[in-house]
Amino acid sequence: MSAKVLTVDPQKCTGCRACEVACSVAHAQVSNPARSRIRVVTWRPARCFLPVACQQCEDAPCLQACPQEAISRDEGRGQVIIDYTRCVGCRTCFYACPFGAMKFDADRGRPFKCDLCGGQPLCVEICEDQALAFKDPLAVTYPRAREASRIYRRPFNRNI
Amino acid sequence: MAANRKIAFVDLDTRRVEVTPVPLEWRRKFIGGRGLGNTLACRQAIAGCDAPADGNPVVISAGLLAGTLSGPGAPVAIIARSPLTGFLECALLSGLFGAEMRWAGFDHLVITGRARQWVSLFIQNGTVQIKTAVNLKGNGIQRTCRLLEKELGDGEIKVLACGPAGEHGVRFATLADGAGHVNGRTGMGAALGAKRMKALACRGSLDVEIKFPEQAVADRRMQPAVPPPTGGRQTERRFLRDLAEACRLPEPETDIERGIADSGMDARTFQYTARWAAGITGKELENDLVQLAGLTARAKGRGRILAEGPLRAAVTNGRDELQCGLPARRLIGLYRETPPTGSAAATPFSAPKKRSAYYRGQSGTVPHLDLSFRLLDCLGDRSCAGICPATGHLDLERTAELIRINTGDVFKPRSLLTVAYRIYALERLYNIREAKCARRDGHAKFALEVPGGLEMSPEAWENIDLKTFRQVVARHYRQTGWDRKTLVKKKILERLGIAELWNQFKLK
Repeated sequence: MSAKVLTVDPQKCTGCRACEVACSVAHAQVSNPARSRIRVVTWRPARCFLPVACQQCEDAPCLQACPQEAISRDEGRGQVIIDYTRCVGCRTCFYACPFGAMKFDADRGRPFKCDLCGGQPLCVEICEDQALAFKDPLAVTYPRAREASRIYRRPFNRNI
Repeated sequence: MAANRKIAFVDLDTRRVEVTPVPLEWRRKFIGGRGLGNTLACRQAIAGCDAPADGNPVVISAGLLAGTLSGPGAPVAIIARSPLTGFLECALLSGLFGAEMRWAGFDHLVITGRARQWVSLFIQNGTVQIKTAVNLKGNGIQRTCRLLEKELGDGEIKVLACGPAGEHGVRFATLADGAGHVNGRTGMGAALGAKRMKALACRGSLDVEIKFPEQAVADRRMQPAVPPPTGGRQTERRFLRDLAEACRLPEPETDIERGIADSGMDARTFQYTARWAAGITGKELENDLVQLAGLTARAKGRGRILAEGPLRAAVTNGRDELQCGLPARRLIGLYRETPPTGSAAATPFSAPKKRSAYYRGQSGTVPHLDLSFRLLDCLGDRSCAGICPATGHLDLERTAELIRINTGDVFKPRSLLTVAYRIYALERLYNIREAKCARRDGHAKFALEVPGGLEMSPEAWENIDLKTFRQVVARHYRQTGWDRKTLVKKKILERLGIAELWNQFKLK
C-alpha cells in the first residue's frame, strides 16, 4: 500500500486561513502565516482559494538542487525530508521549488517545509470545510473515476 | 497579557502617524475590537461634530482573538459616529482584514482629519504609509482593490475600500474588501469618504504571540466542526436576488449587482429608500431602479435626496425627529421576554444564575444577549468558539478560557459581563451627549413612534400593550443602572471604573 498524500479541494476551501494559523502555532508557537508550512493562495480568475503545501514530489527539484545532499526522500512515508545537520542555508532549494512550498526562516538561517506533522497533519484536522484531506492515493482517484463513469454511461442510460 | 499590541493614530490633516502601545488598563477594561474601538472613538471625537465632518474619527479595530486559532477569520470592527443614524455605531466586516492588520503590527487604527487629496493607507510590518489615491477616485470597490494590488505588487494584500457612494457622501455607503465581504448598515463608507480616504491596504508577516500554543492547538482539536457562517458575498447575493424578485427585474444579477454592490451602497438600505421613494411618488420603479441606484451612488438629480437615507429623507418630508436608543426590534424582544426554548431551557447556562446588577436570569434574556454580542464583538470571535452549542448563548467560562490561552490574561467570567456593560454604558453616554435627548425617553419614544421604520415591519407591532411595554422599558432602565431620564448614574460609572468619563459626557 502506498503512502498517504495531502489532497486539496479548492472548491471547498473558503480561504479562512485556519490551516496557516494552525501550522504556524504548532511549529513556530506564534501566529504568523509567513511561518506556516502551508499557504492559501487566492486564485483570482476562478474566484477560489488554493492551499499549497509541499507536494512531496517523487522527483523533487529541491532534492536535485541541494548541493549538500541535505534533502532526501523517505520512500516508506513518501516524504521529502531535510537533514538540518547537513543544510548550510544556501536557499538553493528555496529557489528550485516550482510550487513555492519551500520557505526560509531568516531568523534561524534555514529552510523549512511541510513535514506532514509526523503523519497526522494538523491542517487537515482543523479544516472545517474539509478542503484538505490526508488519504491513500487510491481513495483520491476512485471517487473521480466513479464520477467519470457517469459521464461515459450517460449516452446509454439517460436516467442517471 | 501579550503586550505587543499597538494603536496607530493617523492624522490626515498633517499626514502624521503616531504609534503607541495599547495601555494594559484599557485592555483590561475594554478587551479589544468593538470595546477598545468605542473607547478610542469616544476619546477622539469632538463633541457635537456632524458625522461626515473632520472631527468624527473612524476607528478600525481588530478583535482580541483575530489571527489566532480561536478566530482566524474574525471580523474587524469599524467604529465611528454613523452618518446614517448619527449615533456611535459599530459595523463588522468579515474576512481577514483584522487578522492581517494584526500580522502587520497594529490592532487598532484611528483615522482623524481630512486629507487635501484622495489618499489610501498602506500598512505593512509596523509601518503606515499615506499614499496618494487620486487615480483610484471614481472606481468601484472591486476595481479599486485590483488596482491597489497591482500598484503594490502583491496579490495577497487585504484591501478595504469605499466605492463612489462613499466618495459622494451617500449616508448608507459601505466598506468592502477585495474578497467581496461587505460591512453592514450604518454608512461607514461615507465616514471614511468624508476624510478623502479611498482605501486601506494591509500586509503583514509579524508574529502574533500566542501565550499557550499547545493548549490553543489542543483546544482547536477538541472543537466540533462548525459550518462556516454564511455572510459577506453570499448573503449579499441572496439579498440581491430577493430584491430583484421583489422588484420583478428581468436581469438582476448583472445590472443590480453592478449598480449597488460595486458602487459601495448598502443594498438593504437602498431597498428601503427605493420603496419609500416609490411610496411617496406613487410610481413603479421596476424600469429605472438601476438608473436610480447609479444616481443615488453619485448623489445626483433624483438620487440626491435618496442618498440621505430613508429616515432623513422622511424627516425632510415632515416626520418627527427620531430619537436615539436601542433598535426597536430589540425592545420588542425585551417586551416579550421570550425565554430560550427547547434544550436551552434545561441546559445549565454558564453565566451566573443568581441576581446581579447586570444579569437577571431567563427573564432578562434580551439584555443579556445584548451584552453578549458586545463581548463577542470585542473578541472578534466568529468561529463560534465561545458560543454554547446547546443554548446559542455566549459561554462566559469558555470565553475567559480562550482569552487566557491566547493572551495569557485571566478574566473571571463575571468580569467579562462587566466589561460588556462598560461598553454598553460608554455607547449610551456618547449617544446621549450627541443626540441630547436624555430628558426625553429616547427608547420608548423611538420604539413607539416609528412603527415600520428601518428595523421594523408593521406586523411586529401587533398585539402589543403599550402600558406594559412602558413598564418593561422602565424596569430595563432600573436593571441597567439608568435613571428615569435614561442617564447612566455616576455611581454606576464609578463601579465600572470609568468615572473619568462622567465629566466628558455629562449632559449640560
